[in-house]
Amino acid sequence: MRHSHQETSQSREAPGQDVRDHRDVRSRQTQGRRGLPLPVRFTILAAIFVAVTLAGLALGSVNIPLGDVMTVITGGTNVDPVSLTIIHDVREPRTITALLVGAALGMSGLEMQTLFRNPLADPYVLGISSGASLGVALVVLSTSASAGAATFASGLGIGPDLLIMVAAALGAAVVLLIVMLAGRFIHSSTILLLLGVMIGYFVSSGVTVLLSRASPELIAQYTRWQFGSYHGVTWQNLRVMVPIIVAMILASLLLAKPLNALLLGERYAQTMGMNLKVMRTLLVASTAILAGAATAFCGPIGFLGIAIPHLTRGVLGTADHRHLLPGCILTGSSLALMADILAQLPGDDVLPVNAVNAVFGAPVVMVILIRWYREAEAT
Amino acid sequence: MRPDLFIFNLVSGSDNTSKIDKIKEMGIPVVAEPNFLESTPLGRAEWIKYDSLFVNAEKTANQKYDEIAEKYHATAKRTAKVKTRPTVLHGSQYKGVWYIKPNENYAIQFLRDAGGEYVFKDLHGVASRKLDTEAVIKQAHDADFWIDGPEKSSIPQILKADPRLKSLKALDNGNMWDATPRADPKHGNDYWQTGVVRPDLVLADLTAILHPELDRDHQFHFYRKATAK
Repeated sequence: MRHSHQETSQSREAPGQDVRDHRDVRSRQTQGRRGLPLPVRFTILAAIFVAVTLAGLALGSVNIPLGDVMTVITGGTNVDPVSLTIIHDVREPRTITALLVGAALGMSGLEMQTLFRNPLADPYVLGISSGASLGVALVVLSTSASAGAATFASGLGIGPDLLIMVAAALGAAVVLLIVMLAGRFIHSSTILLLLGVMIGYFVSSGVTVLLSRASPELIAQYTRWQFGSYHGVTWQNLRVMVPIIVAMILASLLLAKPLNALLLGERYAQTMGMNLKVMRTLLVASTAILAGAATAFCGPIGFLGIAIPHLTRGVLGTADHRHLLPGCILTGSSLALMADILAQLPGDDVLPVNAVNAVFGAPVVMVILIRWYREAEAT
Repeated sequence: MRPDLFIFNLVSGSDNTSKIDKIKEMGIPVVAEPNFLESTPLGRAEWIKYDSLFVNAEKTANQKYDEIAEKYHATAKRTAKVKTRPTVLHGSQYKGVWYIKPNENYAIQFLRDAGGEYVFKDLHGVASRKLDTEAVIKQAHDADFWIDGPEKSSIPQILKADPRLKSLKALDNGNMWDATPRADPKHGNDYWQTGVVRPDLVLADLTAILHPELDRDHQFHFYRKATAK
C-alpha cells in the first residue's frame, strides 16, 4: 500500500492529463494544490465514511434507541431481542452490502472511464450490468428447474451463490470484451457509448427470451430483482460476496500505475515498457468481477459507476489513480449507503434505491454532456 | 373471435384506455367490472349479479349470492363470539420488500371475519404498501399465524431463503398457510377464480385455520399448511 501522504509531493510529476480533456484536469489539479492538502481531503472522506456507516446501522424504518444500537455494534446482547434481530440480521448486512457495492461500482466505473478514455463509461451504461444479469438468469433458471425451488438468486446455499457470482462476472466480461472490440474500430466516444447501450438492450432481450419459458413466480421475481436493492442480501450471501469483492478491491489498487500510464495514451504506456495486452486483460478482469459481484445479489444498480469517479476527482482535485482508486472506495461506499438510507426515509413505504441514485447521478451525467457540447462549440 | 360483450376489470390508465377504445372501435360493447375496488369479500362476490344481467340469469345469480352470503354470515357469526383472537401476518416479501395490505383491504376483512387480529391494523387504505423487513419483524415477530406468505414452500426452504425470518413466531410454530393447492404450475390459481365468487369457502378455510376448535373436521378447499420438511 503506497498511497500515503509521502507521495503527495510526487503527485506534481504524476501524469495528470486526461487525454481528451487536459485543460480541465490541469485546472482542477491547480485548484487541488491551492486548496486543502490531500491527506486532509482523505481524512474528511474517511470521516464521512464512518459517519454514514454508523447512520446506516442507526437509521431505519423502526426506531431503535441509539444506546441499543451501540450495544449491539460493540458485541453486546443486552437489548430487546427484536431490536437485536433488526440490527444484527437486517441492518448490518444491508450496510455492509451497500458499502461493498458502492466501492466495487465506483472502482469499476473509474477503471472503465480510463480504459475507454470516456468520462461517461460505466458498467450500467455500457451494458456490463446487463451481461451480469444474463449470467445470473442462466444460473437461476437452470438450477431452479432442477431443484424445483423458485427462488431468484437467494437462499441457494454457498455453492450456488458462488456459481451466481462467477456467472455474473463472466456475463459482464463477455459484454465488456464485445464493447472493447467495437472500440478498436470506432474512435468516437459517443458512438461507442450508444453501441454499449444497444448491446445492453440486446443482452436484456436474451434474458426476456429465457424468462418467457419460466414460471410466473420466477418472472415476477426477476422483475423485482431488476429494480436493484441491497435489502435482500443476508449473512449467508455475504460469506461469498465479502471475500470476492474485498480481494478484488485490494487487487485493483495495484492497477493504479498502469491506469496512470493509460491516461497518457497507449503509446506512452508502451514506451514505459508496459505490456498493453496483459494490462488490458487485468483491467477487464477487475472491472468485470467487481461489476458482476455487485450485480449478482443486488440487481443492476445505476448511476454509481458513472458518478463516483467524477465526484472523487472533484473532491480530491487530482487525476492520479494512486489517489483516485482508494478515493473511489471511500466516496463510493459512503454514497451508496447514503442513497439507501434516503430511499427508506419517506414514511412507511420504501423507494427503489435506483430512483435515489438517479437523483444525484443524472445531474453528474448532464454536467459532463454540457461540458462536451461546450468543447465541441469552442473548436 | 367476435365477442358480443367485452368485460374488463383492469386498473384504469392511459394504456388500457387506448386498448379499450380500440375494442369499442371494432363495434364490440365494453363494460367495466371494477370489483377489485370493493373492500369486503362479499362485495366482490356480489358482482355476479351484475354479470348475470348480460346473460339473463338475474334470478339464479340473486339466489346463489343469497346462499353464499348466508353461509358467509353464519361463519362470521360464530367467530364473532370467540374469546381469543390470534394475531395474523398477511402477505409476502421479495428481497426485503414486503407487500403488505392495509386494514381496509378485502383480504384483511376475511381475517377479521375469521376471528383473527391483523398485526398491521393501523395501516389504512386499500392498495398494498411496500414495507421493509425490519418494519415487518418489529410488528409481526409475535404473530401467531402467517397467511398468504411465500407460495408452495416449506418452512426450511423459507428460512434458507431468508434466515432473518427465524424471529417470526409463526414460522417457529409452523403456523404458515398459503392458498396454493388449487394452483396450476403454469397458468394460475383457482383461488383467484372460484375464490372470488365463493367467499364463504375461503372464510370457512380461514376460520378453520385460526380457530380449529370451531370446526374440527374441516376439509380445506383453498388453503394448505407449509410443510415442515
